[in-house]
Amino acid sequence: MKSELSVLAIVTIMSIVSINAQTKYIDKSGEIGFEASEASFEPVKAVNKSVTAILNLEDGQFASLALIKGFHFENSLMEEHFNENYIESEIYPKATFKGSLLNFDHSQLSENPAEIEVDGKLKLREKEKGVKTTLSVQKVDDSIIMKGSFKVAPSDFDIEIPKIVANKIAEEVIVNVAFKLRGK
Amino acid sequence: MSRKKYIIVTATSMLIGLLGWGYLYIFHGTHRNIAKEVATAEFQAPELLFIFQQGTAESYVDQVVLVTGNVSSIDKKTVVLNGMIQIDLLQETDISIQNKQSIKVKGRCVGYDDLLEVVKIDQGTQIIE
Repeated sequence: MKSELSVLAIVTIMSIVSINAQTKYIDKSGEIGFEASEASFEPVKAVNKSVTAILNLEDGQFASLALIKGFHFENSLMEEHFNENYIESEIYPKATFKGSLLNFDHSQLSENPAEIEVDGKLKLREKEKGVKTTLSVQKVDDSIIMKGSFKVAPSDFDIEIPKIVANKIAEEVIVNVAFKLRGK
Repeated sequence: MSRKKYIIVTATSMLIGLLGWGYLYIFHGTHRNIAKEVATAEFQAPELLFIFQQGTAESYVDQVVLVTGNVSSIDKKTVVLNGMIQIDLLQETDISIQNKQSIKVKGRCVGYDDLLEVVKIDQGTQIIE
């Protein structure tokens, strides 16, 4: 009897663990790019292809983390300035987003992209900025693909753009995200 | 052409050349070649994760390091060692790399990802000894 009970307990625990495991979808190599280019000047853009994203299918909770040093610019000097002068990545090494997909029901996902609203907070340099945008979300095979974009301003995060380069950097920064999440 | 004129022309063209080189060097400088840089430190995967989790790893961020560990997951361009160190490789992963195999990789430390609790490394190359 005792051994049956312990077997039952183990089976119960294991099934709980596996349910939990299946509800979390993860991408450890997601992409975030941003662009703050002004026409007729050298493009100001970078991409990070090693962004983490976690989506909880049960409640639509979503979290993402990008390491600042992982953003690559075409121009190495621009990358250096971005790290040292604008973001100060030695002090603030990451950007995070925490939020949720609104009215999210994972059972409705299909290969046809659905427009789903996401609401959350983007944190950079210890400053938080509310972000609400629409993502295209689709399920292809075992993956959930999420794509979208939103705009932020350097001033949202107390990033000062020196006057001498102010005309070369757009006041609005367009951020593009692309994730391919898989069940864990 | 007099000697003086010759010196002036030579000096001027050298100066222009130097300025041009300086401009290109500063504004269009090339990126670091991590694959060719010498590593500043060598770790076992758990060691490096521990250092980052202790928050004492600032000096290794942006540095080229060597890491040895067992492959716990492998993707097209990403390999994870001991579930602790995620390395984005420069080349698509060699099909000879197998799960659980012990490998040594050189790459640049990007930082600690506290969502996945891994240290991220990019521009990695496998070191075969």
